[in-house]
Amino acid sequence: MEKIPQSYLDNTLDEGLKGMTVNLSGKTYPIDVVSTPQGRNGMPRGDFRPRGAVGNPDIGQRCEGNSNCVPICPVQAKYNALKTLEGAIQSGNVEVRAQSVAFKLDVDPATNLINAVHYKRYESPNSPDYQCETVSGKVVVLASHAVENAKLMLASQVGNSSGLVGCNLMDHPTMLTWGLMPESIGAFRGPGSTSGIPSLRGGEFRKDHAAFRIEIGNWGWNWPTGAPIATVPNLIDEKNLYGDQLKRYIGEMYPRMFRFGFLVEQLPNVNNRVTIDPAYKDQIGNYRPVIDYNVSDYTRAGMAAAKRVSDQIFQRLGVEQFTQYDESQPGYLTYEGEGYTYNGAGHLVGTHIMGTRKDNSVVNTQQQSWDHPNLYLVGCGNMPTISTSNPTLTMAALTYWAADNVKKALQA
Amino acid sequence: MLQNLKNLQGYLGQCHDDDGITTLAQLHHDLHIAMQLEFATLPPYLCAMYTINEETNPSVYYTIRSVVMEEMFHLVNATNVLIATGGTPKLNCKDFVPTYPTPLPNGETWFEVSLLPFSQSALQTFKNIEVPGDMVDENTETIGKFYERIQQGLEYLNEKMGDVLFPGHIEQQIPAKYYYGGGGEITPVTDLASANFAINAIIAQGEGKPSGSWDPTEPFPLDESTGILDGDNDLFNQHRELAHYFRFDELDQGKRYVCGDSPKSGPTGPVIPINWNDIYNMHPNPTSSLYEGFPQLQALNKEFNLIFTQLLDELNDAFNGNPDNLIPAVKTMYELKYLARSLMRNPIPNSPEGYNAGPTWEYLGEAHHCATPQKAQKAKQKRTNLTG
Repeated sequence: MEKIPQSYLDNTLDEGLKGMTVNLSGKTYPIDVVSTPQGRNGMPRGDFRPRGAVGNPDIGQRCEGNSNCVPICPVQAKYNALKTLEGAIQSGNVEVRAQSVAFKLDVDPATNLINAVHYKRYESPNSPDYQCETVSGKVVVLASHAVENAKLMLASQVGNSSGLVGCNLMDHPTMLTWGLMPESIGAFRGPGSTSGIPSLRGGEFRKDHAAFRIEIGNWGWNWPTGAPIATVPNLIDEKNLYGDQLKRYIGEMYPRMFRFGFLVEQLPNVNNRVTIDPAYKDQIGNYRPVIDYNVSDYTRAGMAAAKRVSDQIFQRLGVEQFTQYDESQPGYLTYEGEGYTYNGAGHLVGTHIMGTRKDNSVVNTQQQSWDHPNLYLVGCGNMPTISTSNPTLTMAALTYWAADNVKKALQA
Repeated sequence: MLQNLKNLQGYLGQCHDDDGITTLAQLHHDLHIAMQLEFATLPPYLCAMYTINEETNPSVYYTIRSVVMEEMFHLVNATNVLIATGGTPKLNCKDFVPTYPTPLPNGETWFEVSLLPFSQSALQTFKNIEVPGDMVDENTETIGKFYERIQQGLEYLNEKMGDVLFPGHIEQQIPAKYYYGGGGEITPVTDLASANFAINAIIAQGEGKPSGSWDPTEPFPLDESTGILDGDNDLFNQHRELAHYFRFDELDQGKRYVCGDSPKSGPTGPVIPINWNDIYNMHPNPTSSLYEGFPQLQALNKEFNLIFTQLLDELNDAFNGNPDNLIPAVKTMYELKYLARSLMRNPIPNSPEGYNAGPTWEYLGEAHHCATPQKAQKAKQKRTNLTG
């Protein structure tokens, strides 16, 4: 597909930042605005035809700029797993069992193979009733993402000879900065982000602090403040604005709202982990995940560097600073006396990492458990580092690779 | 070039008297009418669609939407055939859009098309527009028969003129990537076979594909009976879908067509939930005079017409060598929707019937008539010289 068109804001930034550089650990880096790859339907090239919505394939063949992409695009122009599932179901080889939660894997002690998956089938999320059922197969694939894959393995005591199941949980601690542009940048239009500044995703400075990807947000202060839905009522209740005055205020302020997101690198750490505890179970008696998570000084130093870069860019563009970090925010932390706040990016990675040896990882390069030859793990949990890019494309590539290996195993 | 609807009777007389299309000028004339015809279906479909609440009536909304999208596909196909045969499309003029109620521009005088809120009566009009040729008597004009005349004309002229009939002008045609959101796919028109294919896609989507086997590069076999499906699966390997007439018939009868149903049996499947009450009560065939004395409605309608004018200007530019203009045109189409909805939400004060306002679909630009402008004619001449 052709690239999703860059927003008016992207072009304004591109113009305003031309030739700008920043210095990190004694080296200069350019500040270039670059289009971001998207899992989103756009203009096709050649014979390729974008896939529309599941249930109505005529809808969603192009992004329509609904500016409402999370958690699911209203026309499904943004990729979602239903599309892949629909294709899988159409193959005739897949059966979906809904409202069925796997809770235990059995191991055949003679062969070390997983010989059964136990699951609980429930009728209603409002009732604690369920029925236990079992399924078995030549190959078992766990594909319930980083946290749930780890939880199920811990609950079943399988695949954990390394003791690393659940360990090395990573995300992109995301620090936001926001302000008012001197003029309208047409905020709140288009997909959430169409461009970024990727030049600080790596470099020698990584010996001192974490790298970061800079995301340019198209939706004004939506993320940091909930604007416009959460903030317009305050204009009425607190600023006492109404009628034409209210309209004028919104018209003058909101299209100027601007924010950056800094997706900061986090290194693997065995103490950031998913565990289970019999004290924490859900209403059908399955373990709930218990999460230990902290942000190291290396990442905090990256946040501090990111804030310095943000300040320089704001100054250059004449952005009025509105960024505010305070102790009431759940992601508040300090570094060298300064306060910063991070948000979760939902990019959960690690927990059953891939590696070179049975004692340093949970799966081998085939995405296969070191301990159980017929157990394959897929998803971001296999990734041993998170770096600064969103994990979806890497995860998809690893999953294609895993699928090839599973196919070979089935044919063997 | 365009059909002036006041002279419709004259045009009809001419169609009956002549021996079909025998000159390039006649062909271009009829292709312009084809564009006008396809476009003329949009205001009635869109009025009905925008009076519906898509949350409470999703089946109806998405059915009409699916037809609307494909009418735009037909407009592009007719335009591409016109461009391929050396014609110059012209959409941005007052005459291009009819004043409703109106007969269809292709000379179907047996019914009139009105702008109505979604209703049984609107559905009846929609079915009349899309009716398959084999469901009416042979003297009743249909869209399929109108295109049959064009296909015969293309064949005659191709024989007479040879390759010169198709200078092609591929770079001026609208490429496939600009059309999405409905069935069908834009295919380049370079010769008689590809022109027939583009026109067959139009006929089959509206009235149904022939029941027997057919060659889509040959003229449409109108004398054969058609089934309930459109041709998208055969022609484009897309999902199976009902032809427009049968999509509307489902809504009219409140039931789905299922496997084994035929035009004769009608739909025998599950009931379609339709909420006939949650519909804006738009004034039938709204005109500007309805809003006299109500400056807010006047302003809204004017804004609608300005956006509508902008849309026709953008489309005209896109169809005259700048297809990239279809990208901003999509945004304009959305603006049109929001403004139409704003009008429809507003009651007309003191209306005894309790009618709401509706858009009047007027081109406000300067050109009244769609005579080919000199500049475009010169450009055309230049192109013909180059290829001829």
